Amino acid sequence: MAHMPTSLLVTRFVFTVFQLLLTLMTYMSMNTNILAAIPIKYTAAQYEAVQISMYTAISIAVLLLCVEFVGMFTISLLHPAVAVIDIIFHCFGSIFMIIFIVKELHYLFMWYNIIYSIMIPVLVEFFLFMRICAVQKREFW
Amino acid sequence: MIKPSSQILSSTPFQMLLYFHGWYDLIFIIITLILYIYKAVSLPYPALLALELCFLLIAAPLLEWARLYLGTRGNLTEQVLPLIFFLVLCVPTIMGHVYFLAWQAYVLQIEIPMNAISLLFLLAELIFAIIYIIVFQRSNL
Repeated sequence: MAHMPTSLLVTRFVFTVFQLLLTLMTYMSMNTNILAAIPIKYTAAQYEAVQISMYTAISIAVLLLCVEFVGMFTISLLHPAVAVIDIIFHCFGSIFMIIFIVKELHYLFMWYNIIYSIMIPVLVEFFLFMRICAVQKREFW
Repeated sequence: MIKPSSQILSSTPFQMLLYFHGWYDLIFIIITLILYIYKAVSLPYPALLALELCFLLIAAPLLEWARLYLGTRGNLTEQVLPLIFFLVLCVPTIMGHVYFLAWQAYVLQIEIPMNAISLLFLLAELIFAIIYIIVFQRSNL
């Protein structure tokens, strides 16, 4: 078991919480991102179609971040490699979401953000969980 | 007062909640201070702003630090009295967060998820504290 400095653990938690905060803030300021995707004289049907897509994206993001938290506290608390991966991806994800909110980008960028900044840490957690289930290889519990 | 015991009653989840809540409160107070400077500059305020700033700058960090220290002491030394004071100090903290959410003059968009996450932490800590007061009291009898 490699040595795990406390600063890595704290930074990982802070960045993940920050990304959760920014996702919830995106939910509250969804309007501008929807308006960036539909023509200026839009119909209610167009607005609602994009709105449903945006709701789905934000729900999936929040759900995956909660899975990330559960995995962080139970499975991979003391893995330095997983901590570094999380810090890198959530840091880039948070910066991208700040740009997404402030610059009022197209709503599809939210989907791309989920794929590269939330999916990859969740896949790492999932891999560790499968390793525990299949091979019974547990590091610290 | 050290009593020999064959079983450790301190709770790891409770300790994790307290530890991470401390670090989350650090970023919460930093972001709230920055937001207050923004609000003071760009929004019209009556004369009570100085009172809010004093409360935030002095009382909130002290209250949080005392509360988390009492909770840590009570949990790690398996004593009931610090945990009772922890419960007592949770009440003004909850009221402070509800003030930031609902009773403030101007509530910005990012303050809503920030305070919601703090309230979630507080709720979980309350539940754990009540459970572990009962557990520690029963083992002390």
